[in-house]
Amino acid sequence: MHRIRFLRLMSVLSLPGAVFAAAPGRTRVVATTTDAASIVRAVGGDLVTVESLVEGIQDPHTLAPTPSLMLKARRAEVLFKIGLDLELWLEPLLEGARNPGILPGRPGHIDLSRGIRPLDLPVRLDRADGDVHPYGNPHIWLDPLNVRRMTRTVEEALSRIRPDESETFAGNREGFVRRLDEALFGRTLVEAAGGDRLADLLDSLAWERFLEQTVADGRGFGNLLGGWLGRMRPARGTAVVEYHGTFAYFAHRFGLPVAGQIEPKPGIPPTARHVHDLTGIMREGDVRIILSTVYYETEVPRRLAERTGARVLVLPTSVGGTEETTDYLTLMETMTHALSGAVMPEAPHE
Amino acid sequence: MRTRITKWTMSLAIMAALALLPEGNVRGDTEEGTEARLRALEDEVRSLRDGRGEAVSTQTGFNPRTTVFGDFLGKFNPGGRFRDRTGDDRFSLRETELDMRASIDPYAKAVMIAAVREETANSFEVEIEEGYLETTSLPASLTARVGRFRQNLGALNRAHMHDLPTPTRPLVHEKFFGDEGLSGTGAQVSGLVSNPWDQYLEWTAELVNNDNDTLLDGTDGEDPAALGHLKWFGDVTGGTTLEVGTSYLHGLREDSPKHLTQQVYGVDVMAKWRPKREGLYRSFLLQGEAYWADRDVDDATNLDAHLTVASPKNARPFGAYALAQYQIDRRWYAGVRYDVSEEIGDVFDREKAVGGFLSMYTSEFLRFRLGVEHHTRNNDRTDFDVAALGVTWVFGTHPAEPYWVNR
Ligand SMILES: [Zn+2]
Repeated sequence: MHRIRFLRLMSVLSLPGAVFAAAPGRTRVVATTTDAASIVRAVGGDLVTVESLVEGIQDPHTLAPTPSLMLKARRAEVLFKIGLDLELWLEPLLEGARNPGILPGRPGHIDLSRGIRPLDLPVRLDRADGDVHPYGNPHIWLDPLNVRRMTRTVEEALSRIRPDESETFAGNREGFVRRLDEALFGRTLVEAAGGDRLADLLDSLAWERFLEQTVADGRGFGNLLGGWLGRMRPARGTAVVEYHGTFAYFAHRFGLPVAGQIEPKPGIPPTARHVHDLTGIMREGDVRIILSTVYYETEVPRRLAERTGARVLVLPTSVGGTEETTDYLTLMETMTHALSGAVMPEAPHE
Repeated sequence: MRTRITKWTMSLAIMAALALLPEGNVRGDTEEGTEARLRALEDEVRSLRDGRGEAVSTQTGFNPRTTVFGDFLGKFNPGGRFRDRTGDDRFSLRETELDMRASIDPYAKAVMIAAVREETANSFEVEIEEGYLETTSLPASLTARVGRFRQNLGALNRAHMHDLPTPTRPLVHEKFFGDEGLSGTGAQVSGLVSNPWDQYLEWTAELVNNDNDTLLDGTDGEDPAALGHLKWFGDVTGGTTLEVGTSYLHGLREDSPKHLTQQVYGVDVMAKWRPKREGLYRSFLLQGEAYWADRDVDDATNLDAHLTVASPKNARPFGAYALAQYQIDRRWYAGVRYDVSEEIGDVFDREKAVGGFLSMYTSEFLRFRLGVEHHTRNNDRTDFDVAALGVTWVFGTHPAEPYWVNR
């Protein structure tokens, strides 16, 4: 008797949640970060609606799973994450979302770090080294070449879900990559050498040699270099100190040696002793730039700057980190602009 | 250190590569010449790339994710008047916990948590704190669980000792559900209630053996205890969330020939504030739970002398607590808790406590905590103070649970 009533109650309580239907023809996507969302939007175009879980002003490592986030994940047909253990908060959030289709291992769970060569792979896994990311530094999106690779992962994933639209996704990706290449290398160089080839070269040890090669009119390819790389070229070799490993890929791509981090170890708050050591390193190496991002405290960087005469640059490191960073291209635009401006205050704008 | 090594090897490699390359200042006069040189460079790129493989992690394989928690506690009771809690006024390795979890197949996962506890001085007991199988692919938001698990009662019962925001469990939990809170062996089903307002509304139903230490003290396996929990979880503003829950528990009383029942009603509220941008450094938590038990009393069984006098039919012990915690910076948390609870078997024996605590995390994996509590009891008119120093540590895989107190 009791049991029957119990079962009947259960069947009422667990009616499928079909209330949330996506706009017709649009695939519901949830992306962990705003950067992932921006990339998915670029490839998915009008065929997707994308919501992100972390906001651009939030620390992507630590996110409290709130009900509105769980509901976003609950409605999604596919989830895109950055991966490399950046989103350790994802597991409890997905547990609350109760959406089997986007659990790890399912076709609706896409890891954007796939095929990307991680930096800072730990030599050993030991927490004496802090909260190490066992798979390497997860802040991969700050290297435009990685984003190029990520667009391919997105295209493949979306085409698998909607095979009929695969041509549209391929076209969207092509268009975005073209804009990305032009923003990265400058339009002239992309027209002269082709984006794919440039991306291959930039990712190789032959890049500098390539820039020395002369073109038909006698000028070097280096003279044609524009975009973010052209803008950042004068800054190459400028040593920086950063708050956390956030800028690793950015620094690697644009040739900024990282002299140290304000966090003594990943995820460990700065100590007086470490700040003291860092002051010495910065003075010795004449480090003039301290890079931080919008969600870290500003007190320690400020103190460090006072002691060393360096300049603190608080930059957005995700889309939405500041008002003007509305998508991936404007994010990189903002970052390279601020950095080149800080390194070469007199440098003329192109 | 690691980055420096990488940089060094990288720059050495670049220098070596440049030295090996043919002289580059050949003038290119035609488009074809340029194109040819670009091709040559591309080949070079390919050959260089073939040398480096992609990183593949084989570290974990099919091993379960394993995390170990250690919980040390030093309790000091200046008055030395601990009465029923003798043996408490000392250092103890309160608990060592081994947490293992893994997927079973595409449809289920399993969790096993074994705890070694210092029950009395220098005497340790091993217990399976949780050991259950949980479905991962049921439709319609349903999740089912079988095995032994911490029951989904109120706001704090599911948290393990090391995950509590305070050095001790709330009095009402200890007195109503036992020192370790309420755990049961049986089955659980939970799901979300679909609703047109797009609200997060979660229900849980549990059926477990009626053999808990304190409250569900029946021994009759044919009459399991049932628990129901309904939780609304909502975003109030951008950085504030609110959880409101209600619990209902039903079971038979120990050795009751007349099938005397007892029921517990509970409400729980938790408000959490965490600013978006400064979320690493600032947060505020407000939490409270209240429980009312309703136990049949039979004159003949003479179970509770007091109760029989007070109310011949049933007794209704009450207990509650309220907790506030403020995060001062990235490492430090401070809080207060107020407790009041009657004994489950004696509504005239009421204990109250006021406590303050301070927690410091050196990292996510190590916490130091200092707590002081002032207790008063009405029936023997005693009062006493307790100071506690706790150290809690974690090693192994990054813990999966969201707990580790609001972190
Ligand atoms: Zn990081």
